[in-house]
Amino acid sequence: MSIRISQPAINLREKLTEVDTPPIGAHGSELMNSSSVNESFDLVKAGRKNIIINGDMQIAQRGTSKTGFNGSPNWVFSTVDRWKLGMSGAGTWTSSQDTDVPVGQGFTKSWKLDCTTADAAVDSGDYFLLEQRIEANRMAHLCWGTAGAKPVTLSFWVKSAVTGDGNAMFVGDGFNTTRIINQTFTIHNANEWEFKTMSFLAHGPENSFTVNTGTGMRLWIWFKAGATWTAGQGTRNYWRNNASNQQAPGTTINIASSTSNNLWITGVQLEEGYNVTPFDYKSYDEELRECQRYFIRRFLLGQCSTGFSQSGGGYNSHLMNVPLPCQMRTQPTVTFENATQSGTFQPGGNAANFGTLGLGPDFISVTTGSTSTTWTTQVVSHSAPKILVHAEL
Amino acid sequence: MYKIIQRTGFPDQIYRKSDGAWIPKASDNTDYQQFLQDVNERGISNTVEGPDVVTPDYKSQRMSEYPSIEDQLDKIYHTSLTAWKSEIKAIKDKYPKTNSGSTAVGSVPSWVQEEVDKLP
Repeated sequence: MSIRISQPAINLREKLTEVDTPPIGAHGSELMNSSSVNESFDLVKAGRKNIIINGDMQIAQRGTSKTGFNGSPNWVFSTVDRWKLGMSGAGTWTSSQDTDVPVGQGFTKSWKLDCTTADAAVDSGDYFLLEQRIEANRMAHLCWGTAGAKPVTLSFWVKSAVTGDGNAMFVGDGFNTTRIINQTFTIHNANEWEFKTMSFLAHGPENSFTVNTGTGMRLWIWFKAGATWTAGQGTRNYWRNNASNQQAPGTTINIASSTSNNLWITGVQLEEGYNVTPFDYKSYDEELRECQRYFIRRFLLGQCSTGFSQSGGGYNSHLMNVPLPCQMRTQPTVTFENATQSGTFQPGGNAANFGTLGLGPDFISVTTGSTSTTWTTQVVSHSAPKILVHAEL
Repeated sequence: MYKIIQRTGFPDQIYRKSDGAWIPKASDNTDYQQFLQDVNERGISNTVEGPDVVTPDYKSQRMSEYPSIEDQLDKIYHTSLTAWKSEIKAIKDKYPKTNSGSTAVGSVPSWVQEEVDKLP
């Protein structure tokens, strides 16, 4: 008996061609060609990467809705943590943390700005800006100011009632001379969520960059800009010395043109490299902890005094240690809500008159204002007094 | 408008009257930076008030000088009631009841101008 085995003919030339062009994309080839774990990691951009804090607007310790923002005072934290609002000649706005988000992107919150008084004229000095200040420590890995400086990519989701060109800009405060760079982006469709992404050049050793707890750079996103800020000519996406007229060239949008105008933004990410990657989602507690390096608002209800420090040689007040959940960026400024609330303390029913005595790395010594010598300790039994601890940039 | 707050054993603080903020003397603190800027632009006399200088009333002054109860009893036992009385009377005379205490505004400490002078 004989067995006959047959197999299809092989075209050797075709097979060799397949080897030359394996069925993987360009990025896959880069990964396969990487010669070290470091190189592969760098290509994938795995791990924590978002330099922006609260880019998904989850945290709003100061409140979820506030009215009457008109530039006086200016550059204020309105609702969502870490984000400031700057404006001049741009009407009046209500700021809120909102639930309108791009569908299917995993976001639950956005920052909404609602125009309540319009300013349709675009006078020369007018502007409307969203700002986040970034601590220099947080961007040390970008190696700015050195020969190994890395580029960055900014991405965000935006929904605007007005179409036109906005402007994204960085103010490099950490350089020995303030440097700026900017690019325009276009809102194509009114009242639709749109994803914007743009890469910015690295800044080499032409200027030195200081890494410390101060401001490394400010992200400014312009939605109105008068001629003072737009009149400059020249190449965009190019680091240059700060000049007013070079800050927002190309900005045509006027978000303040009508009281019908709303603006939403979320998913703001700034990452190393030329490639945009998926948003770096964090849990609520992770995001809160990052925000609390700069601002903390907490109840004093239930907090006990450590006793009365007598008037002769003491501080003539009950004292209290308020623990903080983390170390802050710098020694903080302290304010109190309802600092003089009546009936704050039990036993005794004494009124409060809160002040600070001294600061530790993760606690604050407080004078309560109660001078009761009847009780060795007292507890805050009123929910109104709160301590606000500010170490913002 | 600001006010310097001095408390024994602690660094000076700055109290911002407009919003009741307690500002530490810390170079990285942006409120402190603003304080120095404000003083620089408007001058000390228009911007900042010196610390309260508190003169305690006679009760507080006497209390801080009276010996402890144990020491007073010891004095009565080992010497006499008269000796104890004279010691206590000396303290009472030193701080008469006419002293009802007062609070005055002191001068602005010199470090304020020194720090402003360092501004670029």
